[in-house]
Amino acid sequence: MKLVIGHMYPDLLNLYGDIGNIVALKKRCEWRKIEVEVKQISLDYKENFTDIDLLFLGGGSDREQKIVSDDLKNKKGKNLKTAIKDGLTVLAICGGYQLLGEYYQTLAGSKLEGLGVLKAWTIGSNRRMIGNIVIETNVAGKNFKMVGFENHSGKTFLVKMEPLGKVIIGNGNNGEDKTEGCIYKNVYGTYLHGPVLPKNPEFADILIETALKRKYGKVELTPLDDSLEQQTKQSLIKRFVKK
Amino acid sequence: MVKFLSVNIGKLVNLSCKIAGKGGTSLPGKIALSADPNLIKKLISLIKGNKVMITGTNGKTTTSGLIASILSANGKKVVYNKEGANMKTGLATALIKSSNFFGNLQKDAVVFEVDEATMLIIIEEVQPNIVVITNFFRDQLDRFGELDMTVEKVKKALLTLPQDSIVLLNADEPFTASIGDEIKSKVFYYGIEDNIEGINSFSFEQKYCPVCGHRYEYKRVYYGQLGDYYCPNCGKKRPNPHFKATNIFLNEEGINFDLHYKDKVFTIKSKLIGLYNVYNLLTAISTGILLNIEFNTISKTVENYLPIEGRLQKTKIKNKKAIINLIKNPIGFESTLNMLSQFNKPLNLLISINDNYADGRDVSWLWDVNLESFLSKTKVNYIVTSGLRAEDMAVRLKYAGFDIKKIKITNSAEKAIDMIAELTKEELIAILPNYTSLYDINKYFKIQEAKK
Repeated sequence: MKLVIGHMYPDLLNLYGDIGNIVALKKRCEWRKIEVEVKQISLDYKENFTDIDLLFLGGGSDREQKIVSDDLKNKKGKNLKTAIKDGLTVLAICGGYQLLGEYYQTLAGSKLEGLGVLKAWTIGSNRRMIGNIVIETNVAGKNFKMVGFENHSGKTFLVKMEPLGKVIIGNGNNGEDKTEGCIYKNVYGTYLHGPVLPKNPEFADILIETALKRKYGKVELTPLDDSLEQQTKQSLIKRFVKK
Repeated sequence: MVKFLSVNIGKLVNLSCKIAGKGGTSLPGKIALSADPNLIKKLISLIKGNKVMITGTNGKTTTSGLIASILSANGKKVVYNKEGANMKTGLATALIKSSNFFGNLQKDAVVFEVDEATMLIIIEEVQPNIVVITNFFRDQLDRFGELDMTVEKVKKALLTLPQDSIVLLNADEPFTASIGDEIKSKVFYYGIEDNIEGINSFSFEQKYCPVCGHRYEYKRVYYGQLGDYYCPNCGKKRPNPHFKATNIFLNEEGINFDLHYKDKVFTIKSKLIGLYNVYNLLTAISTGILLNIEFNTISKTVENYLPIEGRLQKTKIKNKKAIINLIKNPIGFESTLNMLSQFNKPLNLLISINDNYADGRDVSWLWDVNLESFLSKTKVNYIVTSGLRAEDMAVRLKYAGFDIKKIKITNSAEKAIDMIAELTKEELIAILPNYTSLYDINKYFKIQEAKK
């Protein structure tokens, strides 16, 4: 078996150690003897996403998000939308997540167009939502807690979309409705940095499994010893969630 | 007559901190500032000589230490926030400690390292005649927001300087150098011109040309985004430095290089180690030259200068050799690892990561460090992880391919030091704490010292 990971705009969307998500996906495949290839997808990418099993988008600064927004609108958007509708697995963090929504409206009023696959919109606020975050999630029939770090001033509102989880500690999508992230088909958007996957290995494995299933049909992942990851997650939850 | 009541209050707090056995690098200032918000401005106005401010992500503390020593060697009495407390309260504390009980400040120079985010306020109060900027890297992003915002803030602060002030900028670091295009002060640049091998790093901050927005290309990279860059589209390039370092020679004993200024060449020798200390030395010496200090005074000071506590400090734990070095962001961490690997000796590491406010609450940056490259080329036998985020660090090591059976986890700094000493036979111990972890580590050594 082989998993092809597409790292989208690695030179533009590369804030906050999100590269750790690629490291986690890669290692968790290698430990299971699943072959992995990581393709860098940037402004010069010419394919139509049929060569990719799992796509990753991180966050970037405002200027870089503008470049990405233009590139999606003018070049890659159509093919990417088709691939997503066909079941491409996508993990999008923070800025990358916002870009999959319909638009981002800054505090000053200017609008940055998104891909529009998520029925969600984001509006700038003058309060930065920074801090540790704990959510409870129910993905692919599994119920578990996730821990991470959020850092955004955009407030995201979902329109009849399923959130990734419910906020226990922190702000999540907007600091108002207790939702965090978004799920649509095999697309997962979230504000969780940390990076999110190494400390939440259940989530990492769901992404790997979903992507491989689309390619190979039935897939069962060999269980790994995640006691260190779980110990880390539990100690943080214990620290942050005051009873 | 007591001039400033707030100074007295601050001094009393300082005294009580001493009695309580606490460092008190910020608290006396904090309390005195609440009694008199204009305290810094008032005390600074009593100083007639040079006022130097240093800011940037990495190298502030060593650079300001060097500059303060150069000024002292030139016969000046210097106020200097040497504990590295670089927010407003830390600066007020340094001034209070330098004042007598009557609010008199008998000093004739100021050297302040200043936190990037507080530059605007501090420039207004200090009115420096020279501002030095080292570099901009991702550091504690959760406190500052994004890097672009930090650079903008510093630029805005520099625009408030009087026109006859001097700004000294790093030509090799594109964010820092671009500030020179837009400010009104007299701008000088420093930079390296040498074909020394750069540091292999994850943390390359891509920089775009401020004129046309095209991506910069590099002829040479020294570390991170520092190097010789140019814009292939509009031709904008790294400014030609006024102060240049060439013929660089590095080993575990120290640094030698040539410094060029105008038509002169000076030979520099130092006991500091590592490529990033070449920048610190170059910056401090350039400042000394701009302040018209005689070169002999400068070179002697630099040659005798020893690293400060926690900055590549050599020590012993139970008779085993150890080096302590502060790591607070990806590039600092990588440079340290790079240097350790060049020693070609088996190592044991103690990495201590806290997530207190001063450290930055977010520890994601550990994943921006190229540990994979370091571990693949270096013999590391054991790693103890410590601090509030000991487990996070251990997970990072696991995913970098380190055998988890050789990782020991403990949140206590004291236990961690005992553990590493226990595990060590012939290896060199490297203790790598982030900011507030360094305090915990130092506390251990102070207690050991007191027991002797």
